[in-house]
Amino acid sequence: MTSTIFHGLLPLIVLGAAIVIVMLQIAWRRHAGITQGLALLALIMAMVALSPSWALGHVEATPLFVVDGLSRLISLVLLLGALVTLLLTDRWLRWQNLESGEFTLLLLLATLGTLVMVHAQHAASFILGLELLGVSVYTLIAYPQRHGTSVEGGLKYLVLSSASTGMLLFGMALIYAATGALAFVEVGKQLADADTVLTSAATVLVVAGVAFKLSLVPFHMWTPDVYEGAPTPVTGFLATASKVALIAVIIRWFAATGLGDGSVVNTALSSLAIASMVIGNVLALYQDNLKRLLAYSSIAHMGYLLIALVIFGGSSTGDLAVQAAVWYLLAYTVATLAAFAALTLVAGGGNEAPVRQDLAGLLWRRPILGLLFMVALLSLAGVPLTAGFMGKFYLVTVSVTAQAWYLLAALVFGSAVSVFYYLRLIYTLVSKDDAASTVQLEVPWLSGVAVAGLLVGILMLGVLPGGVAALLSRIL
Amino acid sequence: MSQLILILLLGGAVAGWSERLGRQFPPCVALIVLSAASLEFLSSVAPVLDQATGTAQVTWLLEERTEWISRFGIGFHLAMDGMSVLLVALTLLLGCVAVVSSWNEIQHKPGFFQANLLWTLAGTVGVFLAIDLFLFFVFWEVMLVPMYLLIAIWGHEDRARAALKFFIFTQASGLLMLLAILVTAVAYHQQTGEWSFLYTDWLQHPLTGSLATWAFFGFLLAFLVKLPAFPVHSWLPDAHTQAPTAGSVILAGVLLKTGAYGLLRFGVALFPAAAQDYADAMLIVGVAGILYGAVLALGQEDFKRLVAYSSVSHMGFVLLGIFAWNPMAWSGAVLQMVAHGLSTAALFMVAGALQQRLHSRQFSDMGGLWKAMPRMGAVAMFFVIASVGMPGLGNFMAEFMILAGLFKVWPLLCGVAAVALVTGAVYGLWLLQRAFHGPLASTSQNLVDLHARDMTAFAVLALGLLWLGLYPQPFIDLMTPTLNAIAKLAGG
Repeated sequence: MTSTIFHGLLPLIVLGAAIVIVMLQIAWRRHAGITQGLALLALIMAMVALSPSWALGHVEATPLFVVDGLSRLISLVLLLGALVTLLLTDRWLRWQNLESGEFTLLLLLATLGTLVMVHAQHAASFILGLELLGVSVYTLIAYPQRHGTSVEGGLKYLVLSSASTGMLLFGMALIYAATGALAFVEVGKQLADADTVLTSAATVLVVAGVAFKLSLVPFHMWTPDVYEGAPTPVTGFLATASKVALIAVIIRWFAATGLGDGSVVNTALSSLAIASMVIGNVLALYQDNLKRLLAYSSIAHMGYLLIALVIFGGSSTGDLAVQAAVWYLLAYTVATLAAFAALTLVAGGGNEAPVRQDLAGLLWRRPILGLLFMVALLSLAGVPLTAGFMGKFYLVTVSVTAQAWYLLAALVFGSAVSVFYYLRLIYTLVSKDDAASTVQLEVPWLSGVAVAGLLVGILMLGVLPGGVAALLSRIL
Repeated sequence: MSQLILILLLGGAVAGWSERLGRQFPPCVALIVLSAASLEFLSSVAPVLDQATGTAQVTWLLEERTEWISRFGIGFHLAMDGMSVLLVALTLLLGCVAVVSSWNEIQHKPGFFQANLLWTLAGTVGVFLAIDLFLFFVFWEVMLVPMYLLIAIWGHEDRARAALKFFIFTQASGLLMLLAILVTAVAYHQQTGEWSFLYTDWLQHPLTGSLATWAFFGFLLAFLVKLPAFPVHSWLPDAHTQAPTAGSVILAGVLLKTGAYGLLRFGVALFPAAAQDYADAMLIVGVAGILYGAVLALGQEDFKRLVAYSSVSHMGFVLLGIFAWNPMAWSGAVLQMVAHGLSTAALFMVAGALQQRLHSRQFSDMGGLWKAMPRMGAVAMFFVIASVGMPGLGNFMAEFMILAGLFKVWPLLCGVAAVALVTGAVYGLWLLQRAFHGPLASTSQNLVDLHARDMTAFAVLALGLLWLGLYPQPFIDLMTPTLNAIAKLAGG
């Protein structure tokens, strides 16, 4: 292993080592503070470990892994996301009377899984990362065993997610049968002489498997139930990390194999995108339970994001499309994490299934959380000066450049509908507070750091997007 | 100019914070902020008022640029010409009036109220000054969110629905405008290889063909909703009726004008061919709005709703003026924006004062109020007569110029539109009669006449209308260079 490869893979190595240490520490002596401190340290170290590799450019780390601008940027986002989740759960686990050791360990394992996916350039490492993530997340969802809904959610996710992984694996196997290759680049090279029947069947299976994980309509059925059942901070992690990592792999997969560039794939992905935008938004209108509402909204957002991937797979404006996808991921991640952070801290130890009315007057009762939730909603709705608006800006620019008018029409329709339910929530936030419904809990200072970071993140990406936009155009 | 916007934005935060010192502070702070902003505005504009510079296509008095998102060639680019000077002045003036009108009305969270008021004004000023279309869109939405909060938090009984409707109409049409902006920007990028959202750059490489028509429609729809024009006006009566007084003042006085401003500055100038193709249709839409607004105003039982529908009617004149397509009618349209802003703001203040005293906006609870409150009666009469189009006051001047301009292109339609002057007189006098004449209907003990503070605000508005009506030449001189420049673009 040369030093370049070592430096490139350093974040993975650091995180892997930290997981072993945390595991040993738990076995040696249970102590919530030590475990969480170690985990915090591990995530920060992994972020620090990213920095030497920025200068290295494109590194073929092994046949399994590649390190480049995309992987570094997305890794940073994922590590920050995990950090936020960790900071939020610090006090939350105590409120819920849950054991913190395994929870923290599982969170780190899931994060390692996402990092492996982000660096993957081979079907084996892709599936390895996906399963590492998946297995950890099933357990995290079902972690509060007392709650029937959590166990139900975990089980549901386990069954459906395994089925979709099975499809993905079968698709990969067919591709192997057709091309004799598993490395993404090799697949791309062999594809020209491959049996088209096999490759199209494989592509369909891969797309379906991925669509399951991204909860695109019509593969979205599990999403609201699992989101509702999972403990709130885990929902935030599930809604962001797993999707971000998967999108990163898909970008790499399309870029290397060119499999996104067929008219069949294009039509299929376009249909999924349009269906997700329209149906996700329309169904969100009917939700009263906030976690279910955010579930449908995330379905719709994955639909928006897919626009960039469709165009990336099928046209010459590739670079801009990747930048659009990555920007949208950033915006979606920070806003979704913020929304779930607010819900976690509002619910505190008690209410794990908040409905709209529970938030009445939140802006007056707990101004910081109210502000956080409001800004997150505005960002999800795509209002200017938030990260979400720049995301929409990128998407519309890309679609206009590619002249994808149908996708644009669905985007406009979906956004207009979404304003309705986001605004209704904002109205609830600012309405007069008549029900002193939830327990008044102080925001613990570690969670406060996360809240402030998310707030600054959403506004920074919205008000001063120039720096990050320039960075994206340089590294992608 | 950026200082102007900055003062309003930061001032909003300060006004919000000042609530901690005491409930009476936020309006004072807001007034101080607006005075500071006005001073900044006057001191920067006064020295350059007669020194327009620029190319043949634009006549800026002031211009400034800071790079913002260089990846897409987007700059924080502001510029001011005669037309925007007028509209910014109107915005600041009505801002002060709105603060005065909210002085005693707002008891719930006064700090946050004034903050939102100032932020809306900051967005509006930004809309009138931005010449980078991306920035324009950002300001377009920045004025929207605080306005939504003003209606949603401090509105009347049906505020949730009204605020939502307002936001959805504007946001959905705004998305189409964003689409149109990006279509134009991408076309510019494909022509030149550079990204730019700058108005003057776009004028160098105009969009042509069917794409221009579609882009024009995107802009048109957003502006028509804001104006509002006839089939897409339905958010307005609800929003105006449910908004708190200061919200109605800003909404009717200033926010509606952004639609007309955008149509003239960007719709007509960037897509002259497409705009001219649909000019006749738009004239008909304008007349339909004038008549429809007037007829519905006749049937209203609610004071604020009546004024709201009269706004639909008067803003129809602005649309007529714009699409009559000659500088005379355009001057009339801009004058109408200012005059309607002043007169309608005053009428909404009267409605607010009545609501505060009677806890009702229904005419059935009014009647004979002149006896109890003679000052308010006189004020209402002055502004109703102004809004009806009494010669010697601003609205008459504006509507006359619009109709005179229209007569050159379509005499018959001009005749139809003139009918509205009659219906206007009918609903105006009907309003006066039912609210202020006849026997005193209310038994409320609360019928105090207008305060000196309110009277000052009304006096300023009345003086403005008189000035516009008796000696409009300075205003016309101010905007003529702008309109001539637009005429050159639209003609060639």
